[in-house]
Amino acid sequence: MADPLPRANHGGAGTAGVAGGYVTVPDTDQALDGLDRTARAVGNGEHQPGIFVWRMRRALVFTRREARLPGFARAASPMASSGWPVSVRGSGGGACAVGPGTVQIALVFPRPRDGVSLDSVYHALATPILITISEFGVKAEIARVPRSFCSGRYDIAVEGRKIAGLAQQWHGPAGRGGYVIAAASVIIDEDPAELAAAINSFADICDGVQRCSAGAITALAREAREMGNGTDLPSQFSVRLRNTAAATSFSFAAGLGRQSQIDPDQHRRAHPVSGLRTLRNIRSGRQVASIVRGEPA
Amino acid sequence: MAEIRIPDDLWDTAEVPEGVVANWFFADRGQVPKGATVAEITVEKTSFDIVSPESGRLRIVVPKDGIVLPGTLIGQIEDG
Repeated sequence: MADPLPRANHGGAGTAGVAGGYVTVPDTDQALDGLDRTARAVGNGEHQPGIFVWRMRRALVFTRREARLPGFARAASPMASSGWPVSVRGSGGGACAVGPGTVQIALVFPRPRDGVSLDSVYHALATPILITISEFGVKAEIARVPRSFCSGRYDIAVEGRKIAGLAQQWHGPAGRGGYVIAAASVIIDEDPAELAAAINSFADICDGVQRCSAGAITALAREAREMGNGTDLPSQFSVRLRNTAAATSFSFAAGLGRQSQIDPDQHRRAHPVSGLRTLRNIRSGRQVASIVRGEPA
Repeated sequence: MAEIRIPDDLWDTAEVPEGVVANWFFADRGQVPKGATVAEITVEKTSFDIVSPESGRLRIVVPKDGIVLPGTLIGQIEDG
């Protein structure tokens, strides 16, 4: 079955050399709809579990709870007019600003019957992000960043500033079409002040949307000392993230009873297990490292 | 009678103290089919569907916006 998630090649040099990889910049609603369709197909056994990495155009993405706020529609129209169209996602948390300078990643697998905790899924998703960030010479950690947007226990932070946010959606019944989407947005090359200003502008109109501070947010472009091979940073990050995620998160998805579409040997050759050193420095590293080795979570 | 409970090991309360019932999709005392998504809880930026284990009449124990922990009984399915 072809990937429902659109894979139009953005043409960036960063996509070269990644067999089967894709970096896309579709409409945000199109991307979220495609992700939902893919997840339903995974839940129904029509599509293998997998990791998806993509980019999107500029948008504000809200939760369903926020979309039910009385002022939501009133705020959405002027924001769209000012270059920030609004979309709604199924996972929890709060408002999130995305753009071509952010990279999205989703781990999608059939909903397990039991024995899998939300925490283990968060760690499985955070691990490749932390490893990939470290490849640019930046040390990140899992830590809540209180004044950032969409703040949560599993924020990824660089010296107290949020660089990535994670969220999950566990949908439907296990064994009968249910699925899990664990998704993250990583800020690679966006201006934190612009991201914060967009969310705060919406919050000024719509009560119930949390305001945030630009000082609590950062981007890899601001932190990285090793900028890679000269191609644009979001493309570089996307390619590296997908390869790392395939090597680390593949075992997690495969251990839930289905085989991933990604060949683990191909990606383990591309990414030596030296990344495990980083895993052991992460809280609950023993658990995450066992996930990489393919042991049950 | 069947119980609707939050899975015992769903999250580590040392990391995240509690969750909340975000929504009930059926009314109290309403008829619910087996396997239907009856509620949604929110825990640490995760939306988690709760599925009815049996068909029957729903009795809501923890209402919308109520606090939940792993193992919390949030509802029951009664015969009829």
